[in-house]
Amino acid sequence: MGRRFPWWIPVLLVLLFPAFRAATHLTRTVFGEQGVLLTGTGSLDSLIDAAGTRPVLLNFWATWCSPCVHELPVLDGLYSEMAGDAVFAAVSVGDPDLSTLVSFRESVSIAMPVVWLTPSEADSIRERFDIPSVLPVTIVLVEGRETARIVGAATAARFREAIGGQVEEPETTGSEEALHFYVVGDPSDSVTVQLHETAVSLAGRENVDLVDPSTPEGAGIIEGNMLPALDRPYAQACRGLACYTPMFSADQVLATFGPE
Amino acid sequence: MRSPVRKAVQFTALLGTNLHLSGWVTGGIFTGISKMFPIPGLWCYSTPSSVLACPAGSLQAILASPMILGALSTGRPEALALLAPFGFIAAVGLSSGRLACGWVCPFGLVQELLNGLPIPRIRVPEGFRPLKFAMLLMFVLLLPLFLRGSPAAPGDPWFCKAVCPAGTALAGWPLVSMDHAGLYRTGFLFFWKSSLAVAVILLAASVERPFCRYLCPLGAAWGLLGKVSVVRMRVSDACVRCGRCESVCPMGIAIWRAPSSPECIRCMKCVGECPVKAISHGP
Repeated sequence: MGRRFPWWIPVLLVLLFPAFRAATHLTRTVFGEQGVLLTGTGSLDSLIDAAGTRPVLLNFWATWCSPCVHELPVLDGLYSEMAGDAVFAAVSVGDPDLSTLVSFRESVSIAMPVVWLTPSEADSIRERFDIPSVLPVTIVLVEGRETARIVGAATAARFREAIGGQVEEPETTGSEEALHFYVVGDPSDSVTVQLHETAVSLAGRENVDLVDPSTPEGAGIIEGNMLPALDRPYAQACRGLACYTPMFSADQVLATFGPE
Repeated sequence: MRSPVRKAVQFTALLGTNLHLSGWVTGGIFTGISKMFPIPGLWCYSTPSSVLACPAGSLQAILASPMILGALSTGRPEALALLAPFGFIAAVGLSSGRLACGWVCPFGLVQELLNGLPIPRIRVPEGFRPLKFAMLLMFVLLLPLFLRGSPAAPGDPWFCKAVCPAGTALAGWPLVSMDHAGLYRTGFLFFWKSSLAVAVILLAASVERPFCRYLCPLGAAWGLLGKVSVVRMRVSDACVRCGRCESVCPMGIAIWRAPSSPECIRCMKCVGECPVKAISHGP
C-alpha cells in the first residue's frame, strides 16, 4: 500500500481542465466604488445643468441589454479616468421596475451616476434625445447641444473621441448588421417553441440561439452573454452590439421585425 | 453467490426512478412534483424517464445558486435550503453508509449489467481510488460554490457539467439524439463528457463498478459517513482470513482487513460467501 502511486492526482488535474478553461473565461463584474443612484428626469436635468461648459456623456441602457452591461465597466473606467473633466450618467430607459436596477447594483458597482426613469419619463426622454429602439445609445452633449452619438457598444477609445468631439457623424442604428436572436426558455414550453420558430423564420437558424436556463450550458450562455434572467420565456433580438427589449410573444416579435 | 433479492431491489429502484417512460419517445424531461425528491443513488435528473432528482445534482444546484454566498454570510433563510440535500445525503450515509450504492443506485445496476459483457478483465491500480473524494470536494462542493464571475452571480454544477458519465450517457446522449427541433447546442463540454462516458462504459465492462470505485462523489460521501453509520459491516474473530470475501467483492476490497472501508457498498456478497459466517451487517 505504501508504494501506491497516487494516480488520482494526474486524473484529477485532467478532469479539472473544463473548470480551468471556464475560470479563464469568466465575465468578472467590476467591484469598484458604488456611485449614486438618481431617479427621475429632474435629476438628469440637474446633472446636465451642473455640467456648465463641460461635455456630458449620457449612456442610455437597460439591465436586460447585454451589450450595455458589457460596456458599463468601459464607460465607468473612462469616468474615473476623466475625474470630472466630463459629466457622465448611465440613464436606464428600459427598466420599468426600480427594484430591477437596485438588485443589479447589488452585484455590479457603477461609480458614475446611474439615473432611473419611470416608464413614462423614459418614453419622453427617448423622444427628446431621439433614442432608437435598440440599446445602448451614447450621446455627448456640449452646452445642451448633441455633438456625438454612438449606437451600440463601443470601446473606450471611441468614447474618448466622442467626448473630444471627434466622432464625425451620427451613427445609424446599425441596421446593416445581421439580426440575431437569443430565445430563452424551457424548450418544451409552447411559448418558447413559438418564439424560436418565429425567430428562425426571421433570422435563419444560424442566427438564433435557443437557451434553456435550466441546463448548465444554458445558464452559462445567459451568464456569459449577460442575458436578462426573467421568469418567463423571451426572445431578445440584437444587431451587432445593440439589442432590442426582450419580447414575450411571437406576435410581438413579428410586429417588430416581420414584413410590413 | 448471486443474490436474487438484491437484484430484485435494484431493478425495482431502477424502474421506480424511471416511471416517465414516454420521455424516451418524446425526448422531453419529466418536470412533475416528484422531481423535488432525490433518489438514494446516482441517476441524472435529466434522464428522459427520471421522475426523481439526483442528490449530487441537487446539492450542486443549491451550492451554485446565485444567492447562496450572500445567504451563508448573512444567515438569510435561503441558507436553510442547503439543509435539504445535505440532510438527505447525511441521513442515508449515517444510517447505512454505502448500502444504497449496492442495493438501490440505478447507475450501480447499469454498471453491473455492463460488467456482464464478455470483455477481458483488467486490473486498475489502487492509486485511482481516492479520486472520488477529490470529486466530492472539488466538483460537488468547492467549484459550484466558488467558481463564479462575482459573489452574486450563479455558479455551475461542475460534477454534472464536466464529469458525470451517467448524465452524459443517460441524459445528454438521448436528449441530443432525439432533438428533432434543434433545441440543444453541443460544444466542447459535450464532447469532453462524451469521451469520459465512453471511457467509463468500456471500463465498466472490464472492471466491476469503476464509477463507484473511482468517480462517484455520493459514494465518497456515504463511504466516509459509513465509518460511523448506525449499521455497519462486522467481521468476527471467527474469520480465518481465507480471502474468499475479497475474491467475490465487486469493489475489490478485503472486508476482513477493514470492515469500515469507505469502499464497501454493502452488497452482502461476502456475507453469504464466508465459509465460517464471520461477516455480518448490523448495528
